Amino acid sequence: MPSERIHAMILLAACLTAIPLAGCEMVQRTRVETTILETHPGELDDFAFWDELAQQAVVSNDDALHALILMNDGRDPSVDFEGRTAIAGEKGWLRGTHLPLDPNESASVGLLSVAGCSILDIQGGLTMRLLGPSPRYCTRELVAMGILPGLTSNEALSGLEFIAYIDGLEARDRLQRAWQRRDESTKGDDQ
Amino acid sequence: MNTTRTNWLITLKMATALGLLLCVPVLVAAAEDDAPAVSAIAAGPVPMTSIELVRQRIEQLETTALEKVEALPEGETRELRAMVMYTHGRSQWRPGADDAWKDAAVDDVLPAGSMIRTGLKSALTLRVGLNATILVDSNARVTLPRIAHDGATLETAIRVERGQADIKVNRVGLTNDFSVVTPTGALAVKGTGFACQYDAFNGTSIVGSRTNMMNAIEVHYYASKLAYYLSGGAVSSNDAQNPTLAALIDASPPPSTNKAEQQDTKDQQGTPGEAIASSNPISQTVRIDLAIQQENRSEEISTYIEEAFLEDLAELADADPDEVEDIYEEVQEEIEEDIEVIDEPYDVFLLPGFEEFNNLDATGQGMIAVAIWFDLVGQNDPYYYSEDVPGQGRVPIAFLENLSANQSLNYSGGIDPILAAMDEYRIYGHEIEDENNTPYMPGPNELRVVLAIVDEFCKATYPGDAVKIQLCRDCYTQAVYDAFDSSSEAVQYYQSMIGNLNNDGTGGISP
Repeated sequence: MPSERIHAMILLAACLTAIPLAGCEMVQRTRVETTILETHPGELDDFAFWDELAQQAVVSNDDALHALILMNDGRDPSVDFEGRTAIAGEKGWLRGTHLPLDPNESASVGLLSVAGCSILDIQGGLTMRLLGPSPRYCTRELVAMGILPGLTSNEALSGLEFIAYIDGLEARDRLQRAWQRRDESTKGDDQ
Repeated sequence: MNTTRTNWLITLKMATALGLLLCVPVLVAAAEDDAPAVSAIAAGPVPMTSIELVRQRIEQLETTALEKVEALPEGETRELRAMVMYTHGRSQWRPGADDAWKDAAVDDVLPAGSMIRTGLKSALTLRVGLNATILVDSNARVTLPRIAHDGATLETAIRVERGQADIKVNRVGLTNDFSVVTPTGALAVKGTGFACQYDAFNGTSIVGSRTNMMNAIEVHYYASKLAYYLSGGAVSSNDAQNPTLAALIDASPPPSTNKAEQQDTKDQQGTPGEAIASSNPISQTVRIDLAIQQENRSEEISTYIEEAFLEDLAELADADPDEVEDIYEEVQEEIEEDIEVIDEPYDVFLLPGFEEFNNLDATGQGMIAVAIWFDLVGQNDPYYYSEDVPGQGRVPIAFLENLSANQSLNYSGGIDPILAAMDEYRIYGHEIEDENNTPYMPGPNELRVVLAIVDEFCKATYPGDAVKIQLCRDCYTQAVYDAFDSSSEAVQYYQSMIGNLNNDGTGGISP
């Protein structure tokens, strides 16, 4: 019967819509009791921050955003997590991330990947070019480039892993700048 | 593979490090008598007009250093120090774990035990002792536990706790005892340039510079008994410790995008942790060898059947009509026999691992079978004949030792399963003796029996793993050699086992 088919299709569509929503509600991320920034607040690059970060079992959103802003700008002028979120939002690092973020919650690899792609100006493949940077595709892009190991966008990083990720971004940034200089010098030689 | 994908990162860091080393304006001089630590020549700012100029200055200074460095009297030790030659960004150091951190500046002298840390987008270059230059890369933590001149040896130990250090060890006419320690590995360096990195994703990674001499770097990873030697621009890391495998992985094509092939690769059996289980060259070779052997055998059988058939046809053509029916039946029987031959089990002598036995003549094969059998017949055996030299079970014991020694086989079953398998052969010998009241001379078939028993044991121990089964057979072949032919004493034992044949008694196989 056609009406039964329509009902079945509506029911199926409702189920398919409800499953991811329910999933989103059910997902709980690891939380840290106190972020490192609470004990080591600072605007500039601070050795103690990195040394303590290396000891962390999981990196929180607050610490991750602080480290990324430091890496990108050399200083983090924001006084609280809202300030850091605002800076990250302006830079487009929060695209595809469910807001509002909890400062004590573990930073997802997806969020870090979007920030990484933005810092390195990675254009990605067809999907990223059409739909913009998303946690899933930025993660896959960084995995393909060897900056991240085979991780998925929902995973979290330990402190040492996060530092390795930052080092990887920095090394890639250095490489890209070297390529740029080479291209410029080649152009100069051609002229 | 992470290693493959990160190779370019490490290579880039190496290139950057060497570039920075070349751009250092203040270079090192030889040690002074009263201050054995390195000291910089007050060379003044060098105009960075060209890289060639800097290279020339480095060569000059290295030559000067080489002339000044002399061995100390034996037993005399001097503490050396490190000197900061270049800093970029933020970097700090402290003499010991209890001291306060201080910002690093050019010409700072660091004693042994100093700890160094660098910030984001920072770097620090050090001349360490008399023979090494180290560039500590950004966001790294490095310690210098030991820098000493001990007799004719320059002892240096560097600990890379996190991040990367690019290191160049010069040959200055003394023995270089230069080691680098990371949380997961240790390197011994003879005199070369290389980068050593430790991070949470890849563990320890070492990349040699392309000018490395043969086996200039020796790498030991913790929890592994193996040492790897790196030559030239070889790469070794926790993921791919063997530099040859790392190069192979680097050179291998990207994984197939074909889903079916990917599934096949996943389903393929392999040793856990094996780098490239899907294309293990040993199993490929065994597979190809077996295929060729099988093909040759099938071809021989087909040729034989064809020839026999043609002969029978010729015979039929010449035969009387009355005889045709008999000949036809004969041909039928021959064909059936040939088909049975095709279905016969594979000759164990042709199995990979047992080829050595196939090279013996029939008498030799029989003698080996006899020796193996008498080796199993001890004094407690019910059929033991008092004049016999008792067997000591040397072959099973050697078999166990060979299996246990082979790391690929990872055998942990102990001696009992081996003895149980060998007991089948011992019982087989007694059965033959019971069946043949008159003494007889054992031949190749007896050896086939024992090899078939060993083959069954190997197949049962390593089901479905052709490589391990072959290695298991190899172990048995080696065990027979160890027991009977590895030394004069072993040969004597073999002779005594064979000599038991002459004892025409109530037990054992007798001629």
